[in-house]
Amino acid sequence: MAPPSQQLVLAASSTDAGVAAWDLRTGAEAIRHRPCASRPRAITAVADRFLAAAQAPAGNSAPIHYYHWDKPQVSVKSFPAEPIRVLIADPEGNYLIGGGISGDIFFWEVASGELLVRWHAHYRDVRCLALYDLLLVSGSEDGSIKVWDLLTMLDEQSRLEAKTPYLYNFNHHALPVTDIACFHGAIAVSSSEDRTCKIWSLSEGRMLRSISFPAIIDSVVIDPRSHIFYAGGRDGKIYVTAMGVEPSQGRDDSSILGALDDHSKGITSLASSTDGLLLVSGSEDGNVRVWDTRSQQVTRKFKHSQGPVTNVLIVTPKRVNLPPLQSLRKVCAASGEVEPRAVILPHPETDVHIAGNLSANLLEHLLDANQHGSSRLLDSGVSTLNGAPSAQGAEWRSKYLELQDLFVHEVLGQMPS
Amino acid sequence: MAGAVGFLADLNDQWLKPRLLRLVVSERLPQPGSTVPPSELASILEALRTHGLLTEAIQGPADRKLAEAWRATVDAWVERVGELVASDSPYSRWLGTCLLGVTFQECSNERFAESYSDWFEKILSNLQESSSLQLATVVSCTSMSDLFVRLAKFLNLKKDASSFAGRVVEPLLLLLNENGPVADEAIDLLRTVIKLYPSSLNRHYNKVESAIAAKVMSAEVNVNSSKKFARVLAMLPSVRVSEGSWSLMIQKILIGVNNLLNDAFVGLEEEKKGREIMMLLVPPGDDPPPVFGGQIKLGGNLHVTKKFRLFTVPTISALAHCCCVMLTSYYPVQVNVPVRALLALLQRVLLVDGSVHNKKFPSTTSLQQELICFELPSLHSSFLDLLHATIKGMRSQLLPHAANVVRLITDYFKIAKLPAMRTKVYSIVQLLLTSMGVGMSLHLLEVIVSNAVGDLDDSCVNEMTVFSTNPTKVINESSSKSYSKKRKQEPQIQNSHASGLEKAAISPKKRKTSTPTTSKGMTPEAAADVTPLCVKIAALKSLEILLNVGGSLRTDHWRAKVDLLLINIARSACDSGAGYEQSTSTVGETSISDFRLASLKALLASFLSSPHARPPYLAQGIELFRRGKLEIGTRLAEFCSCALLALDVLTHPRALSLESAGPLVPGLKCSGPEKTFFVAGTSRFSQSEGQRQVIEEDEDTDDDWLPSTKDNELIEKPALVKEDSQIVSRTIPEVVQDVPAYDKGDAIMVDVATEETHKLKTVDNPTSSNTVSDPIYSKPPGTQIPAVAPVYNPSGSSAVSNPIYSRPPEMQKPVVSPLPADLVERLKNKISADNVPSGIPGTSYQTPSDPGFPSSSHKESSPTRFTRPIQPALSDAESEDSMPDIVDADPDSDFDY
Repeated sequence: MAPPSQQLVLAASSTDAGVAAWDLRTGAEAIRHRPCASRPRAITAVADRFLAAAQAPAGNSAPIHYYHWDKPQVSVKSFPAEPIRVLIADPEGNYLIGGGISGDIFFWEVASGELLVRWHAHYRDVRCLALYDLLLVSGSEDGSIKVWDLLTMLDEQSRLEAKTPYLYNFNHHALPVTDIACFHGAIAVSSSEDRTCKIWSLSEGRMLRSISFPAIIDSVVIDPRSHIFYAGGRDGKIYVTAMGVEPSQGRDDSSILGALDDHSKGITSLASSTDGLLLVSGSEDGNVRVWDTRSQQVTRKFKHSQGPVTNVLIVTPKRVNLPPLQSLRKVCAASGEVEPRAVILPHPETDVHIAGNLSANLLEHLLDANQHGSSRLLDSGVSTLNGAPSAQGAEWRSKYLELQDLFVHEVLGQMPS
Repeated sequence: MAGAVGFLADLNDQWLKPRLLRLVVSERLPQPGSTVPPSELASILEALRTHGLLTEAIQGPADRKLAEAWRATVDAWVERVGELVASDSPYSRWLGTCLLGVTFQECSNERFAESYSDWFEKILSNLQESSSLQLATVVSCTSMSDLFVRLAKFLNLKKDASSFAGRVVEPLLLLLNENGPVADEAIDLLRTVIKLYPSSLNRHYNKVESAIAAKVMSAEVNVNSSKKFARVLAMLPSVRVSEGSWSLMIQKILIGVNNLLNDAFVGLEEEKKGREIMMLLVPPGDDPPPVFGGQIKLGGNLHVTKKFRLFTVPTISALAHCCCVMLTSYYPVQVNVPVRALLALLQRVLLVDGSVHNKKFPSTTSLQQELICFELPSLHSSFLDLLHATIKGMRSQLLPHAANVVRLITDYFKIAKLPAMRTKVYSIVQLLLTSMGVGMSLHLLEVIVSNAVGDLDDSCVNEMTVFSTNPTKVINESSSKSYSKKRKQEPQIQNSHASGLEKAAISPKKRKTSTPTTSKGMTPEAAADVTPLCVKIAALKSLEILLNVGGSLRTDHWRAKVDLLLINIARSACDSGAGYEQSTSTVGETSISDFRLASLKALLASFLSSPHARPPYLAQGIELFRRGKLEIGTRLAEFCSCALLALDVLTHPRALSLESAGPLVPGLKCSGPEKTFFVAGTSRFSQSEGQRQVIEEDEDTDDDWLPSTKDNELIEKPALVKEDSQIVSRTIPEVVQDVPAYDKGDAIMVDVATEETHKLKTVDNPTSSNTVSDPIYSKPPGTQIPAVAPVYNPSGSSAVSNPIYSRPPEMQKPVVSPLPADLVERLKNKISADNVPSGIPGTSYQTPSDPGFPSSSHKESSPTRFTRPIQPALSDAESEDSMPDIVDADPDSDFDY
C-alpha cells in the first residue's frame, strides 16, 4: 500500500491568492493552485479526485476551474452562463451542482460536462447548497431555504406532475442564509445573517428549533461524532452548540456550550475531519487554524494570504487515473440529443482475484458423487468408457425429444388453427 | 524427538509427516495401471490436507535430518504422481493429474519454483491429446488452473507465466468446441487465464469471442454452463485495455438481444419499439457493428416453436446475464454505459404482459401467445436481474434516469404476480432505496407500502385470531393501491360512506384486482391461498429498508398502518410458530424461521425509525425480542440481542430531543398531528382490554382524517355505524370536520396525564366545567331523533356501542353515568362476549348486512359525540380541560364504577 493516505487542508481566498494545500500531518505547504479567487462555498473536491472552484466574477467572466491534485495550474476552465456563487459535488463525484447569482441552480454531469438541468430556485443569489441523499437544500440571499428532490428535478415528466417544483420552502430566516449543513437522520442546520441557526427536519419538512447567537453566523459544520455543531461567527468566535436539548431545559441559550476563540476577525468557513477530532477554520484575517476539538486548542496555524480566507476544506486526495476532464457546458442540450453519460470507473482495489477452482475440490466433488451414485471410478476396468454413458444418454435423449417434437408438430398441424 | 523410526513424541511431532507420507506413497497410492476405491482416495486427500504432508514446512528449530527425510518422501510422492500422469491407463492418468493439482496447491514454494515448467508441460500434453478420455481432460483443465493460480503468486515468474498462458489458449479453443463437462472446465480455465494474464489472450481475442458466442447461442448448452460462458464473455473486454472493446461488446450484445426480441414479441407490443432501441444503440450516421456471434446460424433448422423455447429464450437470458456481469465488474479503463438503450430494452421486455397488442396482426396466433406467456417469466426474470445489475453498476449515475426506473417498477408491480417475480421486484426496490436514499423513498413510498401491505396482511388475518376483526379491516383498506391518495381526495363523509356498507361489497372485487392473494376478510376460508413465504419475506425486507431510509417521511400517510402491520406480523410469526408453519406451504428454502427473522428485523426498523420518542408498540416488541433471544444458537437469537441493544437507547432516553422542549404541554401541542396520535396509541395500548382494542384504536388514529370510521371500528360493525353516522353527520358536516382535531388534543392529554400523574390533581377543577358542558350538548341530538331513543335501550348490541363510543377520551363520565345500572351490567357482558367471537372475522362482518334496526339505534350516540366539539370553550380549553376526562376515560375505570 502507498504511504498512508495524505490529508490536505485546502484554503482559498476571495482575493487571488490561489488554493493553498497544506499537509495536515506535517504542516508543510504541499502545493498552491493558481490562479483562484473564490467566494465562500465555491470550492469543492469532486469525490476527492480533483478540485473544482467557481471563481468570483472578475471583469465579465467568472469561470469554474478544475485543478488536478499534483498540478498547480488550472486543468480545465469552464464558462457557465452566469457567475456561480456556490458549488458542490455529490459524494460519488458524478455531478456538480452550482448556484448562480440570479437564483438559478445548475446541475452538471461531470463525466460529460453536460448541463443536465437548470432551474430557477430563488429570487436572489443562491448562497449555499447541501445534499442529503437525493435531496438538495439551497439557501438564498433572500432568506429562503428550499428543499429539492433531484429525482423530480431531473425528470421532465415528474416535474410537470409535481405540484410545486420544490419539496419544502422554509421562510423562517429573516436575512440571507449563509450556510447549510446536513446530517445523518435527515437533519439540516442552517445559519443566517439574522444571527440564528435553525435546525430542520428534512423528512418532516419543518423547523425543529431555532438558536440565537450573539453574532452573525457565516458557517456551520456538524461534528460527525455527536450531537454538536460548530458555528463560525462574524465576531471571530466558533460557537460549540448542542444539537439536542435536555427535556428539562427550556431556553435555547443553553444550547451554546462554549466557544473557540482565537481569530481576530470573522470566521468565514469551517471544515471538520471525518473522525471529528480536528476542526479547520478559515478567517477574514487570512489565517487558517486547525483545532483539536477535545482540548479546544489551536494545533496548527497556516498563513494563507492578506485577503480573507473564504473556503477551507479537508481532503484526502485520491490519485486515480482520470479520463480527460470535460469542461462544463453553458446551456442544456435539447432533450434527447445528448445522452447523459454513465461510466464505470476502474476500481483496482475492489477487483480482487478469486482463485480458480482447485482440482482437489473437483476430486472431492467427484468422489462424493461417486460414492452415492453409480460409481464410474469403481469399475476402472472399463474406465475408458468414462463419460461415454452420459454421451450415449444425451444422444438418446435428443433423439427422443426430436421424435416427440415431430409428433407434436404433426398433431398440431392437423388441428384447425 | 523421534527419528525416522521408533516412537513419536506426540501428534505434533514433526517426524510424523514424512513418515505418514512415506506410508501413503508406498502403501496407499496405487501403482500405474491399478486402481483404488474412492473412499481410499478421499482419505489420502484428507491426510494430505489436514497434516500438510506436502508442505515441507518445519516448525521450530531447523532439523536437517528431518528436512532431508521429508524432502525425500515428497520427491517420492512427486515421482509416483509423475508416473501416474505418464501412464497409459486412463484411470491412472486421471488420478495422477488430479493429485498433481493437489500438489500445486500444497507443495512448498521452492519445490514449485523448481519444477513448475515440467509440470506445465506434462499437463499441456495431456490437454492436447484430448481424444483420450473426457475425465482426464477435465482434470487437466482444473490442474492447469491450479498451476496458474499458484504461479500468479510468484511475481518474478510473471513473464514465464504469461508465455505459458499464451500456449494454453490454442488447445483451449479446441476444447471449447466440445460439449459437456470438457467445455465447462475449459471455460473455467480460460477464465482463470483472462483474469490472471489478460495480455496473453490479446492475439486470440476475436477467435475467443466467436468461440464463446457460438457456445452461448447454441441450443445444446444447459442454462448453468451457458451462464458460465456468458460470464467469461463479459470478462473478455478486460483483455484489451481500451474503452472501445467494452462498448463494442455491449453494443453488439444489446443489438443481438433486441433482434431476438423483435421476432419473439411480434404482435405483443408496438411495432416500432425495436427500431427505437436500435436508434439508441446505433446513433444515426454510425455504422452498425458486426453481428454478434458472426455467421452462426441461429437455432439451426428447428421448428419455430421449438426454436423459441430451446434457443431464443435461453440465448436472451445468457446474453442478459453477460450484460449483468459487464455492468457490475470493473475494467482497467473507464467505460461508457449506454444507459438509455439499456433502460429502453428493460422497459420493452418488462412491460410485455403477454396481452396481444394488435389483434389484427395476422401472424400472432393464440398458440404463439401461449408459448410466449409460457416463457415470459424466465425472460422477465433475467431482465429483472439486468435491471438489478444496472442499478448496482450505475449507482448514483442512474439519477437522470431514476424517475424512469421508478415508473417502470411501479408499472411492473402490476404485472408481477408470480412469487419469483415479486421477490425480484422487491429486491430491486430494496436496491434502489439503499442506493438513492431519502429522495428515492419519496417516490417509492406509495408503491412499496401498498404492495407490501397487500402481500403481508393475509398472514395476520390468517393467524391472528386475537387481532381478528380489525386487521382484516386494515387489509380491506390497504389492498386498494391508491389508498392514501383516495382518502385525501375524497371528502370525509363520502369516504366514510365508501368504507362502510359499500366497501364491504366492493372490496372483494377490488382485492382481486389489486394483489394476488389478499382475498380474505369476508370469509376466513378464503385465506387459504396465502402469499408464499418468500414474497412475504421480500416484502418485509422492503418495508424494513423503507423504514430505515425514509421512515420519517410523510409519516401521517402510512406509518401508523405499517407499524401496526409489522407488530401484528411479528407477533403472529413468533407466537403461533408451529401452527403457522403447517398452514403455510414453505416455498423453496425459505422457512418460517426466516420469516420470523425478517419480521423482527422489520419491527426493529419500525421502532428505530419512529419519528417519536416512544414507538407505539415498543413494549410488545421488546417482549418479542426477549423471547427471540432465548432461542439460543439461532440467527434469530443473535439478531434479537442486537435489537435489544439498539432499543436500549429508546427505552432509556439518552438521546436528546432536537426540539426545544419548553413547557411540556405546549411543546407537545405544537408537535404535529402524527405525533399526537402515536402518543395516543401508546397510552391506549397499556389498557387492559388487550390487543383487540389496541388495534382498533390505533387503526382509527391512522384514519384521523376520517372521523366517523373511528366509531365504526370501535363497534366492530363498520358498515352499520358508518351508514348511520353518515346520515346524521350530513346535517352537521362542519362538526364532523372538527372531530379529528379535537380527538388529537385529547389523545395528547391522555399521554400527559398518564405520564405525569401528579399534575392530575391540579387540573381536576376544569373537569367540572366539562361535565357541565356535556349534558347540554348531548341533548340536542337526542331531541332531534326522539323516535330512535326507545329502540336504543332494548337492543343489547346498541348498548355496547355506547360505552365503546365513549371510550375515546372525551367526556366519558357524563355520558356513561346517566346510564341505568343494568345497562352497565349488560354492557360488561357484551364486552366480554365481544372478545370471544373476535376470532372469527367473518362473523363480525356478517352483522352489518342487516342494516335497518341496529343502524337507527346508533343514531343517538353518534350525534351526541359529533356535536360536542362545537362548543367553542371546550376546544379552546381542551389542552387543560380534557385531561382529567381522559383519565376517566380509561376503559377500565368506566366499567368499574
